[in-house]
Amino acid sequence: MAGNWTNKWVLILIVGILIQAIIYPTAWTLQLFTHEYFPDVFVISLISLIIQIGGFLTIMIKTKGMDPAIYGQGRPFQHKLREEDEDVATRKPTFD
Amino acid sequence: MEEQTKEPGPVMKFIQDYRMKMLIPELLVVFGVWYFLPILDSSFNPLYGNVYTGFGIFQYLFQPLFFLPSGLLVFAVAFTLHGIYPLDNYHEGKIPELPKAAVIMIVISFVLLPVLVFFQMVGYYMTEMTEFISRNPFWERVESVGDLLFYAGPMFFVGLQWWLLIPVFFLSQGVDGIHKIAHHETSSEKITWIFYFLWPMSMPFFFDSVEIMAMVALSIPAFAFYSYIRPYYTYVTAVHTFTFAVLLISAVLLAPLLPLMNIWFPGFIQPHIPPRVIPWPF
Repeated sequence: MAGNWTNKWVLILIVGILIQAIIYPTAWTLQLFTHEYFPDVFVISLISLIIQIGGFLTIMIKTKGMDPAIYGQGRPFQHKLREEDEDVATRKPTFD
Repeated sequence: MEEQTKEPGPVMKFIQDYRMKMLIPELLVVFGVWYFLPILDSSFNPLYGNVYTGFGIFQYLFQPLFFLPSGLLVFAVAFTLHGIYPLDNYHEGKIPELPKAAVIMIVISFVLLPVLVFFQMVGYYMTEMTEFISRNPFWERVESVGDLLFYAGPMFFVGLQWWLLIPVFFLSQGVDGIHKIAHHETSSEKITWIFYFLWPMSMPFFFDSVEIMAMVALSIPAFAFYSYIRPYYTYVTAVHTFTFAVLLISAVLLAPLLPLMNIWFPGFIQPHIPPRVIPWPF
């Protein structure tokens, strides 16, 4: 389980969120930018950060105890060409 | 999965067949066009005004029904052009014949805004080229540009924001590229990654710091939602989150210089901040 938290993709994701968690409040506190819509964008950035943290925890809860290889897997081959299709695709929508 | 598969009702079936969920990004673009209208002409309000009146005789080519407001027409076309989705299913052989409603909807779209819809149709056929011809890095880039013409078309052919063409080119390559990578749908992951990274690298040339901050804050969760539902997409979310966090750092460091294009070509990026409709209460 500890292996999930030290997976390289998870660590990269944590660093990306941390950078934002530092920069958004800093930019606002120091008023680094001047723009008519800076207050709006600052509010949006905080909402974004909350969604990202919640989403990250969702990923970690969903993958608890799973093989960390899941993080780098991408869409498995058995797939539907588009979400609303009922049958699994018989061809790749792609190159082989 | 449920035991019994319910046949959807006629309304639900229409919503699915005509892929009405795509109205979410399409109406966002319409919102963008409306947002830019007062900059074209301060007397424009989305509810009235023809954006093509300055085009002389060509205005009738862009909008034959010249007496109607362009803002409302682009809103209407976002709905009527959904006839293209059954056309797509027909081309892929999923339905034996093209539904009449779809043909009528496409014809109505052409009548309302012929030039816009022509380029959106060109964009649609460009997205099919990987199926029609072959899937290689060249046709994959054409496919991404097709997405640009189809989804962002109104920004150019109604909003008339031509300065956005180059940044949106890189944006479409990046957005479409990372989806191709996540779906294992590309003939060359390496080339697709290169085009993805051109997106964040090109942004400081065209946008100022606050615009970049908004792009970072909005695009990360929009992408990441896929991985919240299906954690096997975590690696693309991680790359996108980290890359755009670095873009945010560079937006802070370069703040006084942005957008870079205006340093070398003054006036390249036109003023485009509309007046605030509802002021902050403080």
